[in-house]
Amino acid sequence: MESILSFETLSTALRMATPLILVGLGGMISLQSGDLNIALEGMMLIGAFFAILGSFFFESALMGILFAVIAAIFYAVIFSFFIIRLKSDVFVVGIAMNILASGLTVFLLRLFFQVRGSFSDPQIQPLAKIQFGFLENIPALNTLFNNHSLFVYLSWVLVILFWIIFYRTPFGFYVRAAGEHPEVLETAGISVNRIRWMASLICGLMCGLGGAHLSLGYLVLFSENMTAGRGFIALAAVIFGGSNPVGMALTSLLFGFAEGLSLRIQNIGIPSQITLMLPYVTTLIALFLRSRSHLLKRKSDMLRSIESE
Amino acid sequence: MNTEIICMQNIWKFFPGGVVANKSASLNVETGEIHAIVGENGAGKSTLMNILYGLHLPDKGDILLNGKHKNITNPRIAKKLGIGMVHQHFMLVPSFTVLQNIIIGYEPKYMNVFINETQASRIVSELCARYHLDLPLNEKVANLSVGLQQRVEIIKTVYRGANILILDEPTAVLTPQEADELIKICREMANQNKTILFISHKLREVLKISDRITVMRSGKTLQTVNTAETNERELACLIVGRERIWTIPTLVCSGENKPVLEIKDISILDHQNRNIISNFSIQVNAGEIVGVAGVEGNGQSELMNCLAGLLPTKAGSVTLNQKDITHTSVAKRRLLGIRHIPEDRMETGLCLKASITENMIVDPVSRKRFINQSGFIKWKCVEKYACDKIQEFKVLAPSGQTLVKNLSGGNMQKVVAAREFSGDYSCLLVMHPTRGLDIGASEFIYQQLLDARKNGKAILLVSADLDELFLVSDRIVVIYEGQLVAEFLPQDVTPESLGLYMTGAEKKTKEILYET
Amino acid sequence: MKPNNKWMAFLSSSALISGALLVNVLFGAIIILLIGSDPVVAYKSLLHYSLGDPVSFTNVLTRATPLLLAGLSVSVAFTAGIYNLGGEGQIYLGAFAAALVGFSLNGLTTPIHLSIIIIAAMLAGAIGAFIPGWLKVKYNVDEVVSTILLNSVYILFTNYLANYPFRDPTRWSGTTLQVLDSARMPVIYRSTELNAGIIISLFFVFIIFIIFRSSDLGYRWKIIGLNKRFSMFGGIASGRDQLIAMIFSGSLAGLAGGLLVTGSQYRFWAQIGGGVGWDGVLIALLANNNPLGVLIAGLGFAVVKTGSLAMEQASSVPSELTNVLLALLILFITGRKFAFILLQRKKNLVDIQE
Repeated sequence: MESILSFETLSTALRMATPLILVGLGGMISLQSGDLNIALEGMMLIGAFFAILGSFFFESALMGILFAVIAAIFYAVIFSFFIIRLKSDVFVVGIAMNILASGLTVFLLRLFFQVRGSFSDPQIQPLAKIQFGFLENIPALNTLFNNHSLFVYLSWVLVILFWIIFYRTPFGFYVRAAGEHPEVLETAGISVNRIRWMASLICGLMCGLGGAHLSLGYLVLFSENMTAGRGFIALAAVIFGGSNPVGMALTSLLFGFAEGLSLRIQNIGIPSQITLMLPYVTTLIALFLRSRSHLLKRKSDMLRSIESE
Repeated sequence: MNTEIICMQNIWKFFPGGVVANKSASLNVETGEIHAIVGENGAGKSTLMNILYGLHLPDKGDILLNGKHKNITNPRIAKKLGIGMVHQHFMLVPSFTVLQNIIIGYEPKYMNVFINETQASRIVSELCARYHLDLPLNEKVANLSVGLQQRVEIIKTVYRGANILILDEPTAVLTPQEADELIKICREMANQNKTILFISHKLREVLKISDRITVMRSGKTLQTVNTAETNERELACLIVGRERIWTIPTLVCSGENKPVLEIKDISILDHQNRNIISNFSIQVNAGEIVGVAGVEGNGQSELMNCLAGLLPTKAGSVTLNQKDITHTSVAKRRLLGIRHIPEDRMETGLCLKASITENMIVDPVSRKRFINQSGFIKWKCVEKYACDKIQEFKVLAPSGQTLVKNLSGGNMQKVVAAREFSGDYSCLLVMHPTRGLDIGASEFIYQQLLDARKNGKAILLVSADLDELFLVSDRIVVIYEGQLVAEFLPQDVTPESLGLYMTGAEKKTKEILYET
Repeated sequence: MKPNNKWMAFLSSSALISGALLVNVLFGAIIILLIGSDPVVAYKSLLHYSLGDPVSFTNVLTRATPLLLAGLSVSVAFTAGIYNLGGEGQIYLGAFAAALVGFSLNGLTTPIHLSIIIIAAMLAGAIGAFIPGWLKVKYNVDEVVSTILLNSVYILFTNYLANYPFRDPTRWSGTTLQVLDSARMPVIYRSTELNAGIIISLFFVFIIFIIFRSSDLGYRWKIIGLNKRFSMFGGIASGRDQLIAMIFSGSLAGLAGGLLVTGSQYRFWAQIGGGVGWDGVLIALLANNNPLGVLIAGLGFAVVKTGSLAMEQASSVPSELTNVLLALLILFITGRKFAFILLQRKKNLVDIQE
């Protein structure tokens, strides 16, 4: 038992939380600006694939990141084109784009690498790992915080950055106003659509980073549908966080912990299928508890609990 | 000293569909003046002001500011020219503080990146002091009263450099007392050489606030008068073009006091578990219209939704025709004889994307007779029923298949009326029935209400329009902070007096209220 | 454009959809060219090996059997305003239930055995959809997220069952035992895979069509889906009706799984779903939740999927391209509004000049 809840597990949790945090930040800014982004999963998957592509062909992790970000932003542009310009239904476009991403990455996998299932190659450069010399002397902290891929640290820096943006800069205000009461912005002379577009591009950027971490962070491979629902787990974390990036990040940490735990438990003989369920069940329980506590507060209002986003 | 600051000449505005919103309208306003523009719905007042604010472009005509010709093509330019507008529906972000709402878009910055709230606070406090306004800068706007929210809007325009303030129906949502406060603020601003234009159809207040009044009708500016030289009756004549025919046949009491709807001591909780209605009791008899007056947000919506079955009560009981319906579902209540014309006709009372026919049968009473034993709907019969109703209620629509979203506001309300005034029922719950409707549509609704009253229905009417309440009610009650604080016969009370109760300045003691 | 005439509306809308279809096909052709293959050969072989001869067509129908049900499943839920994206998982539940009942109940005649299997499959799917439905109705848990999360849970769970307690010991990878002979759908076209499942699917297309068009339940679902507030105001028990929609939806998905097992696979195995659940979502979106549209779109999907392998053989275009094009089709159709806007712009320019 003690080996399950060790610093190793917590270290894994940090690692597993990173893509959730990155994608979650993107989802959060999108949601704050008034657009519920259901296509996080698809964007992340696109990012993951193109990261491998870039890194393979240019033998550089940086190119991988660049490819991932550009591809994901491009995907976000298409999404926003439908949502903002054509005012199409968010769910229809989002679901379609998720399915498209799945099919597209499988197709491109075959096209570029002539394989089915997954692709890995020594030519692919993973993300750099950062080593903090001063941590090596403290074993516990060393396990926990040292030697992680660059993005793990970056994600937390970004959490703080996003908080500052949301609550201390005009742009953050505009984003929040766009989601809450867009006419206010219009009468202040600020284009709501411009804000929504910018939020969407940032979302694409973050999903690209998240996807890149997924495929280049530790495993250094791409496999079909490797996001495995993480885009939706991130969405759940966003719902939890409300308008607070820190809350979302902590929730992502929780979900990352569930993932890490599920890997550990496999070592003590529980079938992998059961352990793999852990992150999803955790997310569901978390959502349930949150909704229930909200509902108890709003028990007296049937009409208001019809949430319309 | 008094120079002419605004001159709008010969303004014409056409809208698609053949509507001529402004016909050679003209306006001359002096600096430091409080100038009112009055007229009925559709007279063109809002359009004219929207043109001044750059929300519309005039098809013909000129605008001169301080004698210079100006092209106001959008609100940004208007703002640069010193024109600010306070809309009827406030442009405030609920979760932002007062300060944040005021400075949005024009934030003083720190290192050009971060918002400098300290500096902003200083600037805004100065402004408030200058106009003798009190505003809690760090309070979330969502927690403020409507009167205070309006002040936030006013300071916002001043902060943005407005010398000319356009107020669109500012007193529509205020109590008489709050309106007095507004008058004081406007006077103070005018004294400091701000020019104030406001649109209103409330003649009493217009006479109190303004220096001069311009009357508009059917897109034309008829006349500009000095306030001191005119009165309400004269203005009303100018506005409608005829003697006001708002004389309702004296309400004949239907005699028997048969209680239909009995509400005893109910309490309703809001989503933060606070009492939004407490110990509320009222009785509505057959053939009676009970009007409920109150400032919006004092629990009326919750009360009506609760009576309709959409909100649960925490305590107390509701009885319909001696049958307890406190915990009965919406469907069951309708089957037992309740009808509901909701506050929000477009989102709650209608399904815009559905046809008129489909809208007519949403409730179980209307739909029941068209469902056969196997659970199938006899659509042919439904269509005929809908057609009959369309004719009966004079809904202007090509057919029952027309989607409701393609109807005008008045016709939409007629569809709601066609559904709710039909069939066999005993009690009608009505909220703001003529909001946003023109005279013709409003008269139609009043006629329906009076007919229903004649047929012995018990009607509970909530309205923010005191004139409306005085027009049709047998009794008027006042709701304040979720409690019943007064009850009157219309002939025994004035709107000002009602206003005192509406703002809690006065309260009738329980004994007076409950003497039968 | 104000098409007062219903026919005009139908024609103009079909024209735009056909336009989108055309753009899609052309887009695919361009991609094929970029890959270095011949689009004509590719498309020809795709059509030939699906519609070209009766046997191929039976493959199409076999393929269509679960697709139609998956499409109906999503349509029912979407119509009632509740997003059941858990079709894939519910298919797995239904498939497993079918396999379990299929290999464990001995000594029954085929009609009885199949009937029990169908009920079991529908029940399993219904439960699978009921859970997120109940969470949504009672606790307002967002069903988009919950149904998708449950997909993984259900798939993993059924896989666990097939790998451990109910594993077929004679096979090295986790599948269940084969279903008994009495649990196999009768083949209706000699020596092909086409089985009676297609009749069941078509039957349900008809049922759902009737429900939507003429039943009170269908009316209530429609109103709830269009405006939930309004439905509650009118007295419709929206929570209960949405739950019923989920039950219907889950049952249809479960049945799709059941037909996969009894119709062609004859056992439950790790990837039995094969993405049918997601195809169902696309089909429902294409069909705009209309059962007849589901029929057409479902058959279209089946044609494309059946022909795609042959296309790969004949022109070395990866068969996965068809999945991409099918998903893109939704976007093109959604984007047909853009053509509308462009046309309107031209019209406005003309008006102003007058």
